[in-house]
Amino acid sequence: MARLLNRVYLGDDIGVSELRRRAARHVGRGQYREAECYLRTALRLRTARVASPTCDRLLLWNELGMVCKYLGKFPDAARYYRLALRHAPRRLAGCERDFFLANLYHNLGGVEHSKRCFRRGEHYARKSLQVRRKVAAAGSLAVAADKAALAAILQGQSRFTESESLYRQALRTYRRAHGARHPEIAVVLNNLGALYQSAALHGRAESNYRAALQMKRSQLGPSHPDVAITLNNLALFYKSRGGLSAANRCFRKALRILDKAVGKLHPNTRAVRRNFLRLR
Amino acid sequence: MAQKKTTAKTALASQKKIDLKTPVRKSSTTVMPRLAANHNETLLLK
Repeated sequence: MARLLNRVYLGDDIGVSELRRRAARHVGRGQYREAECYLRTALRLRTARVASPTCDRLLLWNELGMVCKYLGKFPDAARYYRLALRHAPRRLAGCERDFFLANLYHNLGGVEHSKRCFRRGEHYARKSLQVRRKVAAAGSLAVAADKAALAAILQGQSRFTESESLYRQALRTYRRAHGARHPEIAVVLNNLGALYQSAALHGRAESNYRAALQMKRSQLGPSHPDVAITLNNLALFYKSRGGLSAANRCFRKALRILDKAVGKLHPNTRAVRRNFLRLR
Repeated sequence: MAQKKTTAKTALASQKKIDLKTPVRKSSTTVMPRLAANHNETLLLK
């Protein structure tokens, strides 16, 4: 990566789209710091060459916002989304504008979800679904993603019935489009596991966690930070059932992954460490 | 100089700007790229 970025600084014409492609590849592997580096370079390149915000820059703001969210830099993430939100209506039109605006609302809801500000998150998530429905079919993957995001926010408010129904709808669309195994399916299974755990449906919770964990490991790799989230939840499940040594093992694995992938100061790393310390 | 200005204006106008009259088509095959919309994953706290 350093060699490629050096070439950029030396004035080689490495396109913004190539930097975005590389960033997307790193995001897929959960290597968010590397992705951030590529995207910031692309943004500098784009800002240096063109004075007014172009479509490219709108996309870069959205992508940087996403990476910042995954890195736990929530104020940065919100700032990038808001920049894109401010300029998008002037730079885009028609379906393209509405689809992009729906993405921005979806992602702003995601930042609030991460900050556990669920009421504010719900406002954005509903707005994203409302705008999305204007341009995407009811059974599309984009609508499914919005429903899954809203479900997670409702889950945070303990509105389990509404949340479960939305997860089920999203899951049906994902399975029809992707088959049985996909990272998005794994996220929904993890969240359903947490929902059933909160409702004291232990059997369902465990089977959903196990399916999510296996799918994440095979689809994303064993060191992806998403794997650590399910390990944390599974650890709390074992703890609630009196399986302290299994819980201990899961927490340790989760912390090893998070420490390396996103660092000790990441909000998720700190939350998992707090959970682990309460076990001892 | 005037020609240069016109070229710059034309270039600006040709930048991606879709006609507002473009009919709205609902697509059922819209794929959400991994780097377009994030996922909200539940991390339990105890």
